[in-house]
Amino acid sequence: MTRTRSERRARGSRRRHNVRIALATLWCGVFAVVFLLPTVLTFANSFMTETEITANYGAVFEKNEKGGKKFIAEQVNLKLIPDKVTFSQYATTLFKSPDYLFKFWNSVILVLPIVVFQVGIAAFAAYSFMRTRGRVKELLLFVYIFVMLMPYQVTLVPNYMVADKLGILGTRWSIILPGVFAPFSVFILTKAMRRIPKSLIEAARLDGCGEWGIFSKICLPMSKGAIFSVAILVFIDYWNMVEQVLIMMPDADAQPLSVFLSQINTGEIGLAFAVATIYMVPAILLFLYGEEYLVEGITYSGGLKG
Amino acid sequence: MAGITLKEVTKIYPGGVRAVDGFELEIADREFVVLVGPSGCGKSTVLRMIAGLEDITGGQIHIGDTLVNSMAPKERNIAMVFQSYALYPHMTVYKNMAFALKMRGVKKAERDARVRETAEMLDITRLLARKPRALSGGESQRVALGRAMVRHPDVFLLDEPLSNLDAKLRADMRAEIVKLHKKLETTFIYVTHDQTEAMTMGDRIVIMNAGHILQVDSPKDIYDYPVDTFVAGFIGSPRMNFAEGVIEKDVGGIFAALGSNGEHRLALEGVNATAETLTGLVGRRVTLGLRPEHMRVVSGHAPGAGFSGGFADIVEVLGAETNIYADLPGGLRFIVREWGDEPVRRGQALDLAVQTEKLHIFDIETGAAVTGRIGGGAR
Repeated sequence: MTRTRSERRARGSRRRHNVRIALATLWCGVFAVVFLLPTVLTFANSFMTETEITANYGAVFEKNEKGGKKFIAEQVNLKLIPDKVTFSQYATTLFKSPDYLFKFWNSVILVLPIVVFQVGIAAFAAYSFMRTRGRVKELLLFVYIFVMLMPYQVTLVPNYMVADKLGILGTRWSIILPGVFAPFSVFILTKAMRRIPKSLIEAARLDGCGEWGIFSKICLPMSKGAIFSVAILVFIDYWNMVEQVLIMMPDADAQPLSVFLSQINTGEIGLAFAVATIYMVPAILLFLYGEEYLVEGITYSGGLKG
Repeated sequence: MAGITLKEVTKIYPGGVRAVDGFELEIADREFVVLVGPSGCGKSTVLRMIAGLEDITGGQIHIGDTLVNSMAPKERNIAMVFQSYALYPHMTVYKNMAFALKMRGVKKAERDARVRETAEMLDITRLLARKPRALSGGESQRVALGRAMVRHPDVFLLDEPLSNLDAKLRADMRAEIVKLHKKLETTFIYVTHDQTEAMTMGDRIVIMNAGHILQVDSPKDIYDYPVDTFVAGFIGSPRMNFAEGVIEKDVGGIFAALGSNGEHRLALEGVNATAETLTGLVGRRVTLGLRPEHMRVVSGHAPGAGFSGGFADIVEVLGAETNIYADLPGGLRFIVREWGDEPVRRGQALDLAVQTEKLHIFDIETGAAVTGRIGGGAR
């Protein structure tokens, strides 16, 4: 049976489409492996003995006679399956060394207030930006966006000076207070709330709501996705903070897990993998729980149509 | 239940845009009034000012005997159905309907009874557990009506509530809203740009343009006695035919000469104007208006009773009726509505007989109607 020209064309177009899909999948797969490999290695190594880890990585460099670096290892053995599975690192981290739990608690009492208050304050600010518009408000929002574009390092010095003036340097407040007022959350929540149709606000006014009612019963529930996504992003951001703590809060006892992890890496390598794995758990759980919201939040921040 | 009085109500937006200017209207208790006009004429602004969603720049609004100018929307005891329905997407239909009652502190048992009673009335009981995103357009419309009804408001405001529905559903809902008005015996104010809705639903129609009221009357009277060319052209589909002409007088009486060279002469016998008015028009140019159904396709007619020498340019067969676009000598083009199936073919020669008593005469400069109710005159 002879194929018609249009059938042949359709077949060719289908084949090209399949090739494109296959190439895109391969491309994404390579990237996924590159990004996931460190996490998987950390997880795998956390179940290996100290001896096995050292044998796999060993010392790649050693000092030469002149005090410089000398390359001594042929290759690093990226092993994913331990020869002998051990939980000793976890036992040490969780039960024998109080340091870990202590630092974990430090992280919690630094990050939770920041997340709660930052999202709360941002929601109020966003509501204000949504309800009233005008030149001053738009200028203020522009300033918010401008500040948001600045990397943290730029505002670190002014933050340090303000903390010093307030006399909170070295305390948790020097981390929490600058963290509570953040333009990023305000920006995302403003965009989310401005998407709420005006007619809904008007319907709420007719139904008997005042400003608080409109905020709490209409705008907050309708911005749930954006609020969750902001909370997740803020949590991940502050869960991983290092520089702020090192500069604002030099007291090692009050420092969070993120700083502890960077220090432990330099010493007990086996323990470092176990600590890193446990350290990742809250962020991963939060991400898995709120993945959908996170995507929604990214959509708002990018201004894409939902 | 309450009537509404608007006295000299004006709305000027920042930047000086005068959306509503000196709006005067008295709406009786339990009346169904339709505000109709083209986009941007200010009809929705009037509705929103009554609702309290828009501040008024000047004038007074009374609901019942209460001056509500500075009252918050929630204190006015009015319910509004929005064009977009404005159902809260995070609440179920039940919660949407119960929300206003909850905000007013109505007890749970009474809330439940009122929601269920209203849902029963609108046949939406099966939808109570659904979220708005799971509703069709028609269902959303019913829920929006239910949400308004459940509050037992003094006044219902409806802002183009049917414009998002397809043609069939719109026709069904039109009839339902009218029935609902009869059942609830409450004042309804309905905004639309659709003249069919205005004609079929309202006890009275308010025709607006550029922030002003042009005419307030019953649908029938607005159709028969439009006060100017705008109203005459806005109400009626197909729209009224207009042609310029000169009023002349000879031994046979007063007639209108139409066409570029006065080819057509229409005797003005029986038009809705007094003899003095007609005599006063002699020698003046006027705009004549003729509704499509007031002309008939004929072959030959009495002198002064129609137009001759035309042909059918376009023939639209709509089933029960046919619209004929007739081209006539002297550059005239009229739409004629004939009942029945294709009374004339495209390109066919035709003459038009005119019911001259239905002829409208308008001032060529102001557009104001010269003809009207004899005795009462055009309002």
